[in-house]
Amino acid sequence: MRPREPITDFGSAVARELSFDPRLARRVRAEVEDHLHEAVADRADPHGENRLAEVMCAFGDPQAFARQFLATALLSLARRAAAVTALAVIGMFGAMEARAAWYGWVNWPVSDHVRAANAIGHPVDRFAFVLAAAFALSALAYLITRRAPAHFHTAFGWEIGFCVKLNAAVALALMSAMATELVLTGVRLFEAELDARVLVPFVSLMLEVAVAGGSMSYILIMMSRCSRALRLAT
Amino acid sequence: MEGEMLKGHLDMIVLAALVGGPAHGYGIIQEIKRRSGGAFDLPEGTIYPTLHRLEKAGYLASHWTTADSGRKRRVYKMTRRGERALSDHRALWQRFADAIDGLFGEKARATARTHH
Repeated sequence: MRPREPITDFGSAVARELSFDPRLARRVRAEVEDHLHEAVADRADPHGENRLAEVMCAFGDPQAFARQFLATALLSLARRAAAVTALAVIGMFGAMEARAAWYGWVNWPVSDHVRAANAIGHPVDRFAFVLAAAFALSALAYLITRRAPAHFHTAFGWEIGFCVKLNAAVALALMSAMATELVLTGVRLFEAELDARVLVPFVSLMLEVAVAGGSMSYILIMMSRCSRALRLAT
Repeated sequence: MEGEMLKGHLDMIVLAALVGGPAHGYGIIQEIKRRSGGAFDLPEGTIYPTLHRLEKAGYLASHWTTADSGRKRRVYKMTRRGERALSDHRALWQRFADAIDGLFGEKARATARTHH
């Protein structure tokens, strides 16, 4: 009889340890199971159980094995988070610019209310957006140039944790910019007549809400995954 | 061979094992064992984190295939960047080996002179 179960159990244990990154867990599990099956088949020992025990022993403990992926996996999670926030910054910038260009193109009338709201809202909006862009660029530049060390160490974990928190700050700043835009555009739309002209500001605003909300949710998921990954280090 | 000595050079050992063409994890371990005359008998679990790290760094590329047994198999191959890294490391290693040879050779000659 072919000794399959211990290999499957080992693969499951490795996948469980790497569950903070499901894609990585699936891939490593398939690779490890293929390796163990081939190694068992390759051993000259005619006694199946001895061969299996020998192969499992040569591979080591599933937790210790999974821990060796930690540095690469953390860097990969942080890079994904940084890429998503950078795209969110670009997306929001595009939506804001499109709306501003549209106002100019259709000669959108600016009332005193809108002017007063803009005087307070625009500096807040601009500050939040510039802050988000600066943080997002810094985190992305650092993470692209950083290489994963061969072995995880506390300082590296701290650096990655800092970058993920920086991305959370980007998402928060984007949420603030979006909230300000929501008020400023809301004031304009409230005063405007309901015709085809309002479609562009409305759609671009909804796009901003979706982008800011989506990036915030993604960052929260990534923060949770990183903290689960860091538990493997202890 | 000392495990710590191997660890420091594992990336280049893995890249060197892929010079002959694409291979999967187990095949790479066997190739390393064969080409080192059994001197590099790596703990089997160490190879996979290294392969993943090298792939992330752009030195390797990989894809899934189906083995004869019907199992899914991940096959790795070296990229141009990996070839350049290996070539640079080979040159560096050669300079280091020449320097060590010089040192050890000098010591051996001195020992021989003392005995005479």
